[in-house]
Amino acid sequence: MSEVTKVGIVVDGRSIEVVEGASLVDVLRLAGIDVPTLCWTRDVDPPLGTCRVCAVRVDGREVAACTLAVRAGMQVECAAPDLAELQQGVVELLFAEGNHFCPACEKSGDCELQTMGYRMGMTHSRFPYRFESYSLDYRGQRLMLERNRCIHCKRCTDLFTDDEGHRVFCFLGKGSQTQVVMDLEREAKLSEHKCDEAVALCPVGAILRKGRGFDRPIGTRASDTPERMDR
Amino acid sequence: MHDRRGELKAIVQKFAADRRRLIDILWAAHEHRGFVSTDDAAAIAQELGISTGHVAEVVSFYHFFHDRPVGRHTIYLDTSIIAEHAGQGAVREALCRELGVKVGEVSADGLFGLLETSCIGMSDHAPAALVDGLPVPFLTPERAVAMVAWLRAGRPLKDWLAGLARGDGQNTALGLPISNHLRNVGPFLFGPEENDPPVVAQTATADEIIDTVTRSGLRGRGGAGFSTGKKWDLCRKIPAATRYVVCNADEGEPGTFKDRVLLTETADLLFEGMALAGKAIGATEGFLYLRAEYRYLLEHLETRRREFEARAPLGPFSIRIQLGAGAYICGEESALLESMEGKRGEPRIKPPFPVESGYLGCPTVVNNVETLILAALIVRRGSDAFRRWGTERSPGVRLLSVSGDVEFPGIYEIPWGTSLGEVLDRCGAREPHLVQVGGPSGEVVRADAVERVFSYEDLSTGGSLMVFSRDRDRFEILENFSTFFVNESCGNCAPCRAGNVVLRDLLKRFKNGHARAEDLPKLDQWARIVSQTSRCGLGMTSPRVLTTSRKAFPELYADAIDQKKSPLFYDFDVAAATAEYDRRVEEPS
Repeated sequence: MSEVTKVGIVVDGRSIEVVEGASLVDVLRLAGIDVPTLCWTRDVDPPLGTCRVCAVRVDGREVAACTLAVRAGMQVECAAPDLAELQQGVVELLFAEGNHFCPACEKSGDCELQTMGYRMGMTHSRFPYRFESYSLDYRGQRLMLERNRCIHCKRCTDLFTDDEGHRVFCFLGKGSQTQVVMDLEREAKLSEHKCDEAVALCPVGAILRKGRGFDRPIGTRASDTPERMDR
Repeated sequence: MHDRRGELKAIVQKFAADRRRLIDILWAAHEHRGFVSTDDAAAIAQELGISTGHVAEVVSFYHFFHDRPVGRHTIYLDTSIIAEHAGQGAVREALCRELGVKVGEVSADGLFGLLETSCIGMSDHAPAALVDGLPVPFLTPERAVAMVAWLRAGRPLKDWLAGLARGDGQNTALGLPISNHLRNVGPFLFGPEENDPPVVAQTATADEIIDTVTRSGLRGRGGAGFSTGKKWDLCRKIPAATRYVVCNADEGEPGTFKDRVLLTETADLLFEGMALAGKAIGATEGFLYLRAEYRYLLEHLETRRREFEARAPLGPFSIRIQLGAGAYICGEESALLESMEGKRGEPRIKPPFPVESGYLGCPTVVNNVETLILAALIVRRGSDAFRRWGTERSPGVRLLSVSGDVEFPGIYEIPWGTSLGEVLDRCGAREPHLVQVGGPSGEVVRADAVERVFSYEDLSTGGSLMVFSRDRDRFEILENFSTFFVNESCGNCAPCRAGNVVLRDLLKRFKNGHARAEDLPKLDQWARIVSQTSRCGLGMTSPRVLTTSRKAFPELYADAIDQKKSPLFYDFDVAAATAEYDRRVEEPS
């Protein structure tokens, strides 16, 4: 983008000036509204738009904020209680779909899903837990997949490539049977740095380093205290 | 030894090692062997210069692709509720017994694979199956067993199908025992063509075409109902060197089969409509995305296509027929485009819409089969000829695919504004009680709401009309619909992937008598979470199974609640808890 054009939008009744074409999530956060996200990472275009947690209302229609680029005159609603209900509903769906036993998880304290649950004040999922058994893939040289915790955000499948630019993770199956699989040949050739990158990219504890875990002392993890939880 | 590697290499080369042709490459690879093994996927990936995972994830996405052997003959039973009501259960049992398999397995001799798939567009021939890609209508246990015997003897299926002709209406265009079941011909689409100028559009300019189509008030027939003229106009105004026309012939909504009939009867008009759209937006290339379930139409369509291209009545316009591979979601236009580009059919983020960024990122018009045919006729006859029918806000006619408990299942052409009661009368509905308008993603309607009219303002349908009589179990119908969405969700977004399972299970609580009063408000609340957060139309509309049925039949849900049940342990489901035991006892040791 060569020229930056400023346009006006209205957020919860407040008029603000924003950069035209910017992601609505970015714009809202700049305006001090911390719209919840899970799959979203900055500067990915097109956005993944898979978790749908960032539900807001634009011009009267519910929409995932991350999927929208701002245009002049947008009427955005974020504070309505029914939107919080939608956002939390989706997070609860994820908790009911997978098997998320936070106390036993290596990523506990650094998990974006767990943090989201705390932030929303969730104590349980309203949806019946499925207790589906998902397989674990520990055949990798240094990485393992703990599918019980996967939220299918597609960060690993769509955003992660090895040093040669090849995808290492992909989606197999469809619908509720969809699972992430790892190209074992390519995984074996990943650099140490790339392995760490894959682990960090995963918002939950589904991609892990083998032989490593619980290596960050409690108190130093991203979401250990309320202050840390607020971005 | 058979050189599979060389074979695959030749296939990939045939498609110029173009990864965007992956669906075609995989079809060709299946042609030779019936499945694409992990090694095959790796070989194809290497030839295309992509990762093996990319090939594997595409194979795993589509119903008609397999990564393991599925038998020399593959039988796909249609699992739509229409097929189930017509006796698919007995057929399934007979085939399991005859072949010594369960659904999803291959017979010990490797000859037969018995599989299931969603509606195959044969609800007017229910119960039906696709066997080696050919439609086998009106199955009975006896007919199914006879077919198996025939195939075991090594005889061609086509010959056996030819023997079914009596009474079933042999289709001369296809040489198959399926009928077009045109019950109501005219007033417009299947109307008399004698007075039509043969392709007036030769001289029509892009402006004139768009003007005529816009003035006719034609709206897309896929369900969304967007103005066709406006869509074309939007597309041509996007600056670009290349634009495309895509015809969406992936009709997957259970209960609909009108595109099957249109493709059989009026392929020329369809190609004319595509070429017109091309002229209107400035495209010289078009694609017909044909659902894999209609693969048997491919030969017929290719012949018509070649004739059309040779005639080139509207100037040079080339059409490629892209075969799908079995996925309801590919009826969603952006998922269809993904599939055309050789990927999993996961819907894109919108905006941008296809008119702006479609096939290969170029501005693309995606239109339904019926829409394009109507557009061709409108340009031939003028917009007033179309506006003569229908209502002010819903001008023209539309096709309904009627199936279920009716005397005359088939295709009905009605002017918009026709009442539900009139259609039910005309199709000979037998004690109708529940009517599903627009398929599972549409609306549950009470059959006694006869005054409701088919129009964009009231019953705005994609064309499927399933009629169910009083003696049908409504929860069984609803659960079938709900399961359909569980099976067809692409898995990309959380609310649709996880939410449809939750909604199906909630429905089952009511069906099985385990629901309690506090479950009632969940129907609307949970449905809202899924419909308002899902990425595409599938998840936005699938909860309507619950919400519209509750609205139409509030007593159905209220009566299903067991008031006497103890408030303790109400989640305990005896049937589910002992299901494993029952299964093992029944299993032959």
